[in-house]
Amino acid sequence: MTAPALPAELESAVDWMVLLSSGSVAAADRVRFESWRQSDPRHAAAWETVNTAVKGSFDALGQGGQRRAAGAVLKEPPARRRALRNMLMLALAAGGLAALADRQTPLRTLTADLRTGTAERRVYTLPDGSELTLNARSAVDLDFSAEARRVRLRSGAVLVRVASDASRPFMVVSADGEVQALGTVFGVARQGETSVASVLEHSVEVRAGGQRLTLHTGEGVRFGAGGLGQPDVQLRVLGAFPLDDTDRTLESLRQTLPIQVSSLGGWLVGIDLRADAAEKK
Amino acid sequence: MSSSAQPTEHAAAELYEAHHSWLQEWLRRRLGCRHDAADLAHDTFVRILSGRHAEAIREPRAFLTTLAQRALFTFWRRRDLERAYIDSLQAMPQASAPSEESRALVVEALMHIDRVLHRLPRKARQAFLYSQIDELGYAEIATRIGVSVITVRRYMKQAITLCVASRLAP
Repeated sequence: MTAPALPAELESAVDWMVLLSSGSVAAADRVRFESWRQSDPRHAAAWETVNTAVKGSFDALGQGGQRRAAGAVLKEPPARRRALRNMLMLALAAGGLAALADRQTPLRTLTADLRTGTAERRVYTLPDGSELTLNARSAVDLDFSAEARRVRLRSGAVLVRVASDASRPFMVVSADGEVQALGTVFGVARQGETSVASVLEHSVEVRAGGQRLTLHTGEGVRFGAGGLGQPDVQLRVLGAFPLDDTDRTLESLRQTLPIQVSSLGGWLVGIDLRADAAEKK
Repeated sequence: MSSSAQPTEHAAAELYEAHHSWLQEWLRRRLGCRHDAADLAHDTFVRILSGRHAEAIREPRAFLTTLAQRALFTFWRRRDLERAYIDSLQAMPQASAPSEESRALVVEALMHIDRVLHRLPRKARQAFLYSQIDELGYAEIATRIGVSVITVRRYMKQAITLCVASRLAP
């Protein structure tokens, strides 16, 4: 994106703030900053403006745990566009996740560590700093030890952004096999008697029925007791779970589904069935 | 000023008379709740009164729909952020629950920051938040989000500039 242009004094004040926030400021820079600030009342005023603009909004977030909780929301904010929700439903339907259509929370999920109900999607920060997004009607148990970080997917679908920790591999385990993170972002979904893994960033290793396979960005594979299916880029639609980077999500959906996506500017995005797909209906 | 305010108010009143129930019904269908719909319809008319001259509106329903759509998005956004915040608090057992009042303030602040930063790429947003919320230095941020320190610097400049720009023209 291109940043808006600011008046010169403000721009300098912004540059000073960038410099002074680095966490390791040289004493000489502090001296230069002070002399800049004191050399001209306009500099001091600009500095005040920038300070208030930046810190002012964050003061209301409180301190300690409350502030970090607010920070977690802002770092991975919920999906911005309402239209996307509807489209997510469309995407899930198209991806063959009809198994999720039962409206009840399955009984076995009631005792899970983390779970979600119908029409509910949650983001959790795990003890190691990894972020776990639980799709609607999903349940996982956490099993973190000194040797490994395991998330047991009992039902539904999960998307994980893994915090790196070379000494403790991160795995999502379902009844059908296991998926080990070799990079950062991937999803696993239970669909009936099989599971599907899909990779949004970097790669994962999928192990099931005595077979193993490395999957890369944009790839997905179905796995179960019988082993692994053919890797299939079409399954990338599972990447629709993180609605945070909506542009990328839209683009990948546009590529995998018979839809057309048009930006109407700002908040609005239009989504329609493509003409050729609509005619077939 | 007061002479020109008169006809605007008059036109707005006419607009209200003619379209208020229609708009409220339009909102109710989207929200599924009569009270929220009444609130948002009210907000929408307040915006008209405080904004552009109502007599200049040629397509009142299209205009009202646009404004109401905006109010609707803000409403949903606030609700989504509030829910996410409550979830996030629950995921941090050490965080004490804020009072109703301070929660409302936090949600307003979240709305503001979210709006200011929403055009930033995800990593730029995260870099800025690691700096502001977690008070991490650039080297640490660079490691966490997997970019160079120079890129973190660039992200910080983008984010701070957006904060300042939003303060200048809110």
